[in-house]
Amino acid sequence: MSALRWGRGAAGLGWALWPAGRPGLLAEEGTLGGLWGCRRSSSASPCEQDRRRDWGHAELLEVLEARVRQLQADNVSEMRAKLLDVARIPEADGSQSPRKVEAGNEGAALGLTSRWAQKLHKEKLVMQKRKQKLEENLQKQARKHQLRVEPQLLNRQLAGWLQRWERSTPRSPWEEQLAQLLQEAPKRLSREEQHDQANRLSKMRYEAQQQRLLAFLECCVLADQLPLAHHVLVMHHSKSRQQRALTLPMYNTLLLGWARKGSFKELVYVFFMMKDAGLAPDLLSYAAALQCMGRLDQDASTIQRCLKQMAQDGLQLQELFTSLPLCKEDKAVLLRAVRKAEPTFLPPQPPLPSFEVNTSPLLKEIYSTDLPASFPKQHLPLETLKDLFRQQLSVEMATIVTVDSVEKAPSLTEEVLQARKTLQELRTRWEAELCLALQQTKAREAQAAREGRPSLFPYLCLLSEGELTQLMLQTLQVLSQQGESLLSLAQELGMRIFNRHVVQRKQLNDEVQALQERYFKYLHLLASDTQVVMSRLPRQHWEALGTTEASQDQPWPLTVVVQLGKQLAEVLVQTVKMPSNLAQLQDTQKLIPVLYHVYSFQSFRQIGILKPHPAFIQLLETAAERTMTFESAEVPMLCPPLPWTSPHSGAFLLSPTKLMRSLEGTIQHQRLLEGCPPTELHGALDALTQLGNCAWRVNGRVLDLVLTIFNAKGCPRLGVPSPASEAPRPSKHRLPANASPERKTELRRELARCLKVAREMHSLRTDALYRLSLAQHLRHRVFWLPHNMDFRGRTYPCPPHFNHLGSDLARALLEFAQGRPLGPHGLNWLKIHLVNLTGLKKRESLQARLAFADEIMDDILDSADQPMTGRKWWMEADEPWQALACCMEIAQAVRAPNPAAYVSHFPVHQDGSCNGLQHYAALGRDSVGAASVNLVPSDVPQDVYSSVAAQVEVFRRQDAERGVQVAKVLEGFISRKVVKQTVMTVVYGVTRYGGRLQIEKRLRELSDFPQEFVWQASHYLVRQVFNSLQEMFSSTRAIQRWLTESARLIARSGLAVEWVTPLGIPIIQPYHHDSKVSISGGIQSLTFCSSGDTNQKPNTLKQKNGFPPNFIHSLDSSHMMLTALHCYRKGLTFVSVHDCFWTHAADVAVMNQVCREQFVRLHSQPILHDLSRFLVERYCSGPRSTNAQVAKLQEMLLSVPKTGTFDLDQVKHSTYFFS
Amino acid sequence: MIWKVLHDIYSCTSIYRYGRVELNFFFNELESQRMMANPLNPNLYYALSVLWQVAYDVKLLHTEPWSSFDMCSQSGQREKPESKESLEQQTQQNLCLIQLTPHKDLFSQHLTSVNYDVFFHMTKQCFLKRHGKLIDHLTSLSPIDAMDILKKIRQDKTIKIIDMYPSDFKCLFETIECSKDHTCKWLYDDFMEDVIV
Repeated sequence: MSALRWGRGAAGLGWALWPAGRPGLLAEEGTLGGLWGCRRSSSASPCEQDRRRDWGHAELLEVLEARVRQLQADNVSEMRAKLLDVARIPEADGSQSPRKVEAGNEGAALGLTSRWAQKLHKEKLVMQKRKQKLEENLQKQARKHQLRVEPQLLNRQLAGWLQRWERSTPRSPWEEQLAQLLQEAPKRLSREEQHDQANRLSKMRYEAQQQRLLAFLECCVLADQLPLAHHVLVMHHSKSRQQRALTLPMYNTLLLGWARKGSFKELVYVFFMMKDAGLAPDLLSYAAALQCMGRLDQDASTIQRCLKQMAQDGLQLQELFTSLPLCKEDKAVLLRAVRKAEPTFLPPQPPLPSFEVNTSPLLKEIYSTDLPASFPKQHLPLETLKDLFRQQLSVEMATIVTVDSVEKAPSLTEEVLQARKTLQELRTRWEAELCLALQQTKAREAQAAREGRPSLFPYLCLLSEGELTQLMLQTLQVLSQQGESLLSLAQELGMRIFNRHVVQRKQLNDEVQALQERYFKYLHLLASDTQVVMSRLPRQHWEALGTTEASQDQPWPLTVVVQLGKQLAEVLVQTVKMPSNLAQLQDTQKLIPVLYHVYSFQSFRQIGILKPHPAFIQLLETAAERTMTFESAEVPMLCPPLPWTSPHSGAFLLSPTKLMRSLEGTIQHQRLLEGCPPTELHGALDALTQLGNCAWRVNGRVLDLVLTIFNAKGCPRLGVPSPASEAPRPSKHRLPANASPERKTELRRELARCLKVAREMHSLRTDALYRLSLAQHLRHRVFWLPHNMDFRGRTYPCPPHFNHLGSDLARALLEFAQGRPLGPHGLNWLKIHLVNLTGLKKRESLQARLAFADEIMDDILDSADQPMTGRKWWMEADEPWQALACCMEIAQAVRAPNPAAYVSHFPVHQDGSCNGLQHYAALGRDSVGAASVNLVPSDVPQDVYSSVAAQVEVFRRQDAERGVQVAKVLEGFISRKVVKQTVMTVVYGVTRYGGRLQIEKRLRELSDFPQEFVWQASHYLVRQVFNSLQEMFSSTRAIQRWLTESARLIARSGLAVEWVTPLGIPIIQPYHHDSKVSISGGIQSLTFCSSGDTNQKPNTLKQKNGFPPNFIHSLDSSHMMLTALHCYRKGLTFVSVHDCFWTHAADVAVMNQVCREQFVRLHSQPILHDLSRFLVERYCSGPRSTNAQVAKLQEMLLSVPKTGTFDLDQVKHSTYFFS
Repeated sequence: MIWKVLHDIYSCTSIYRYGRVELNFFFNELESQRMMANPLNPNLYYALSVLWQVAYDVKLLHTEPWSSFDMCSQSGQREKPESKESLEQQTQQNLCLIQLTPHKDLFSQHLTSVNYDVFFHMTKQCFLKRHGKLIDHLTSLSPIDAMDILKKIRQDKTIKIIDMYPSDFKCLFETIECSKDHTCKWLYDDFMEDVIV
């Protein structure tokens, strides 16, 4: 039929008779499942006329009609359309077109007519064979749809070309086609304009769909489902609406996939589609084409044509090897292809990274090779470290770590054993059932993909059913009694699948072996018993040992992650069942679900919750299996972490870790980091690597004590949470039936209160249980805490449960694994540190603190010797557990034969006093302010809160003399405590409104203050506090205002605020208006908000209020990193908790010196002017600059606040700057 | 306001502290229609309808057009309507005077002021998917076997939420609440929402 149509159309006989040129025909042919040759439908285009005129219309018509007759005669019973399709289309799965064979037989010398005749004859023969095949196929199809291979092109001219080429007898080889396709590659049509008009919402949805489709295609390639991906792409391509959504990366994904398989025909099909869509091939497309040719070992001329075309398109051959994320093998094949055409071609050598060095003036000394450096080493020999690496590797390959709980084990009664057995049986049964359910789900998803939807199918294929089942059962295991919201559960499950998949891919790609070899070489730099020739930073050394493979796994879109998790959660809810009576496990018993999907109502929202059956919780409690499971990335590492070399490679050996942590789904940070030149990041990379390289061990004596208390009744005052048995209980006695409603209500309240307390206790308890169990697990071991940073550059350890960032208890459990002799002053620093921890003597000089420590030496020794039975002096300290640990260390040191030689593992802290204000004062060079935050040398530490209180008092007295009533009332009430919180939070942008609330709270706490004046007084006080700050920190306030206003104008202009820290880390504030994403279908529609979506307008309020504190945080993190790097160069062990720096007691003096020097260095930079210049360039250049709004912004940005007269060098001699 | 009154009567607090009080309120038309809806007018039938009707005898006393009322703001001045449209919308509607007489037998041995929040939750959750079958909802409300419950309340297993009368919900609740041989009757617990108003 369509052949006839085609003929007539070609003859100009009015194609309009046949509505064939439109996709409408799809429906007709759709009887075949829409999979067969819809392509035909577009072939009858009138525009083909010109091109074919020379064929001779009449002749052609005749031939074709004859052919149709013939075909009809052959297959009367068959639908004609079907037949024709069968006649022309190679088998849907066919990698070999039968016509290829024909083409070979055909003599080129034959004339057109005779050729057609011959062909008809041949086809007739072939037809019979095909008919049989068709029947087979139809049967097959009944069972399973065939996947489409051939594209249906919308551009008629092109479609005709494709068709002609397929049918033309001296068939030009595929390669020829490719060359031509590339040659006439059109530039992309101006399509963007169409989108601009569409409203924002639909645009977002549209982009989300695109993102999803791309992720689907990529995942298909990974999961070895290439034909399916091709099928879906063809399906989308064949509909003009959907085709518009297809992007070059999608086609490229497929191209690369086919190239790796060496499937040239499919490759060409994709090129056809690309051209049809009006997309010009880019470097990656060429790389795919060349790679494919390389694999098929094609002749030089084809490749040459391809290369020539590439050159014409302005693409560099060299770039194929440098700027594309291809794996080693791909590159090798690519090179083979290129060499064929140009035998002399040499791929560019990757530049040795160590040649490029950061040029920031702040880091000059760090990277200079002239100055002497003594980088610290690990304290362990090479062989030990190698062994530790192997252990860590096996942990990460297993992806989970099982840790024994520190809770008391139950006595193994009959009941317990029975419960464990039941649980085990249930798990075995569930495993099998879940596997089955997963298979069904997969089949369903596969079907959806066949229908052209980017379903979850490939994601489900990434891990085996067994592994997915294990994941689900683990989720079930840890579900708390109150249940968990479906959304967070789904997201967590999805992320775990992604992480596991990444780890698995690395294993499959043989990266593990390469990693091990490289790591062993790298260890020579770190081990205590080996030397390397050049003294280098760990990152430099690592980079010098090889190039990092660029195979970065792109994270999946958040919607995919959630959807995947939700799907699994759904399977879990529907599949996992248990007998209604757990006492007797019989098959005849009725099965009830273990998980329930319930809703909670919170104002206008309904939140879906998965909740386990109480009987199941009961069973778990009875069985009391005292083990817990962690993801391998939640546990500290057993060997030194991989150095950070790029925004996505470093830290854990296999588990993916991001350099900059962010909320899931915010990608702007990652984009920014990837976009900046690698050397810019060196400072941050090296600092993080170094923080991670600090070896830790558990303080066993403290752990023992904590465990004793933990397993007894706990002690909330000391930060050890109590067990559930200590929770308050509602009064037991039952209400009489005739109790008053009032009494009942009261009871209800009490019940609710008890439950609330119990729940809070439970969460605290669980948190402590995790921490202590991990500590117990790591006791007697050395471990490392890999670090990354937040979007402002502040650093954090990656393992969440057990690290040095936590509470007093958490910090007291840790000490340095590497010891250092105390030296002459170490003991004194220990004593001073102890006094600091007690919180006493804050206003005294160091000498006074030292004297105080000597005075109470008795108490110290008593605490160390009999912590639980003695006078318990340590329990009164501000930070009791750390104080106790310090007491023990001091006791050991003073009792050592030579205290100076005593090897101490104890970290001594130095805190910045009101660090935010220190940075502000230095930025603004405020003399008075600088003195009050200890930037100026002084005999005793200054206290900014007291200074502000004093200033407020001055103002108050003036007002009181003037007769202001409220000032009189306040006499004697203005203390440090009243103003402290407000002053502290001023750095973080607290407003008068918030400040008043804080002060009001304080005033209400004062029992003798006349409460009727609170409102008035708090108003008055907050004004005076701000005035005092203005007086003392005048430039600081000006800077704050300048930052706030600039941010406001930037956000108003529709952009998020960005800047670069003095160390070169690019920063962007991820505050946008919420974007709602909803995922419908299944047991529940999920809706979640994300504020990091860059397609949304920036949230002006957050951008504005966030800028000053975030900017200051980016400065304090720069200061910390600079101190870290310089300490490292001097061979010190250094870690930090933001503005609290830790090192060995012996090295405190050196660290203090470095810390002060670096602070001065940092603030000697024209930080504000650099910022102003950067912002002007970023926001006020280019086409936007004409705008009036932008002009205003520029004016604001250029008016950098004037600074005061403070001499920065004084900081170097200030004892109490950090103390 | 509406929820506040409902919580008050079910928990016997506030104005219901000392017993049953009859209230007469003006509600707008739509709201009062909802308050009185039942399966016969399914489009207006909501969880609130059930809760109102279980607690009170709801009676429509009088309908009065909006135009008979002057609207005053807090300061006592006549309030200007925000826009013409809303004014028109309002004037076309009526205000309904509703009499709310608390039922004598609202509380029973099983539905009390201590556990009314479970009843609230049950009703709300049922009406999340109003057109769903009761049997499907039961599985996420209570661990007790759904068929047993249906048998006890003598309902067909195909019954849908919007086909159940308010009294049926109370009956359902009491049936589940009084079932003997289960230690745990509800999946709901206090912390799934902060119910205390």
